[in-house]
Amino acid sequence: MILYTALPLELIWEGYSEFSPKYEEITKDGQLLLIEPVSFNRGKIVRLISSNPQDYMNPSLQPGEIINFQD
Amino acid sequence: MSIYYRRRPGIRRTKQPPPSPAAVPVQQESQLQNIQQLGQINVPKLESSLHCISIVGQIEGHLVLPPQNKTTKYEHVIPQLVAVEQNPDIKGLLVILNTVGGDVEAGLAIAELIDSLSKPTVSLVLGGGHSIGVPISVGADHSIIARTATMTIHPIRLTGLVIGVPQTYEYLDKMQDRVINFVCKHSNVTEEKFRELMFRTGELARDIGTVLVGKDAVEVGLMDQVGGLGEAIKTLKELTEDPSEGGETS
Repeated sequence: MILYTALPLELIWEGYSEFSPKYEEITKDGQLLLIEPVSFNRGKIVRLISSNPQDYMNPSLQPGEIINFQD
Repeated sequence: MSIYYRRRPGIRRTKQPPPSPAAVPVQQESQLQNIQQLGQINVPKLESSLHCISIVGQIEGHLVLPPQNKTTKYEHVIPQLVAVEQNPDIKGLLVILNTVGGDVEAGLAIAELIDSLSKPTVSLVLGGGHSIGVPISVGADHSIIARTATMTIHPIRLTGLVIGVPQTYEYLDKMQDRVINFVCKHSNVTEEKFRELMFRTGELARDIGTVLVGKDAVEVGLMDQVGGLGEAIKTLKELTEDPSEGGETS
């Protein structure tokens, strides 16, 4: 991986050694999602794993959305 | 506790939750999320035949960047482009760029997809379309740059973090050639001119390279037009109405 960017690399990678997000894979409404838990039963979508391209247009499945799960 | 359990079925029978108030908390929650995530209350519903994808911040590639970076996730943008191609209701694509660059391979992947999309595409560079943002913006059928927007053209840094590949000069040189070839093939800038801009000294304080502001990018042949949102939508409408112009590569 090579970054081709106008930003100084030290600014981009600052804090990378302490940065270790915990992700979980869950299934919600038949969709496989990679989420970052934010609190009990709530998580922020990191990634959607689907073979249907139209799923990626769904506003409620965009990365960054907070969802309730396990209910 | 026993009273609670005895009462609850009674409450349920007499007070059926009407459907409309039940929908309100959901709406409020989504509004709250819109404020948290996007800083706005209502995201306008798309009933347009044109679709817009914005590429902002860093283009995130194979590594998750630390949280101070605002990133565009290529693994989400790529299937969205597939969906745009596949959906018969979408007639054209507007790509808005305000990016500082990012992963070479993720950027080139997005650029190749935008280029190979059969529907008309227009790119609009606002603020900045630096480094790997350059191939993405020229990948569209018609590329527009705002008067005040800038594009930084500089070599791929030899001191950058290189993971999984031998950090040899030859490898980086090949990587750079991929970017140069793509840009020259999809814009009116010649390879000699682009290389000259890339390796020019004295323009950038910390690096070699050039900053092109609005009009300069059009003069060297990199972009097609100076303009804004109005021009972008107008061009896209013209392209969607006249299919013969859809295959234009510049």
